[in-house]
Amino acid sequence: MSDELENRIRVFRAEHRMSQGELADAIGVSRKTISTIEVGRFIPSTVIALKLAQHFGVPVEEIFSLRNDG
Amino acid sequence: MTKAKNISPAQMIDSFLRRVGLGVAAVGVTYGLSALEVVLPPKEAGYVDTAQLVLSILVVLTIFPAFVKFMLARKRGVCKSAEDNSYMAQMFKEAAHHAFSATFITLIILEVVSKAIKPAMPVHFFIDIALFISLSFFAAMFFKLTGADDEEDDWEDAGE
Repeated sequence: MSDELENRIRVFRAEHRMSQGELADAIGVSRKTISTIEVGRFIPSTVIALKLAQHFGVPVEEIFSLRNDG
Repeated sequence: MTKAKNISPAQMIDSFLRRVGLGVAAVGVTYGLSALEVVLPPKEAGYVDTAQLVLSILVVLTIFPAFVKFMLARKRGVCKSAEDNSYMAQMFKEAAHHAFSATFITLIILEVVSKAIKPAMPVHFFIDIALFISLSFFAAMFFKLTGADDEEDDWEDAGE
């Protein structure tokens, strides 16, 4: 069984009309950090996940979810 | 009128780490050249000395300004959170783990090789080789891990 972390950051960015750089500045990380989280290369810390949720005003589970491959 | 360049602490840390990676690569090459110097004839060894000097100056010029900026920001306490949550910082640590393994394997190989080589080489030759492989491996891993393309993604592209 392997669990993969999925995220909807791109969707939320589009809704808020934000670029990666703007979102990165808003939560105090680098643009590279945002882009690598978006593509699933970097599993963010709980702090980043909470900051993203706080910024978009949604629960963390709405941004991040586990995809269970069985 | 020019607009002042405003870089966030997180961007500054990424830039600093990139420069450190370049600096480590250059220092690695310096050790490689130092090892090469042992096996080259004296005339060619002179060129190697010059190359080492140029590389050393480049390392100082590349890292020192970024290091000063980083230390000043750290003193002001603006870097801690950004440092902990940086992708580049994580990859820096991962590259260091890989480099540790590579160094360990290199030392074991060099131990075997040093006994087999006749005539015996000076000790600093083997130390230089080990440092060359360790630092070069670290730099290569760091840039491999952080080098994948990730162009700026505007919000207009995000909804697609």
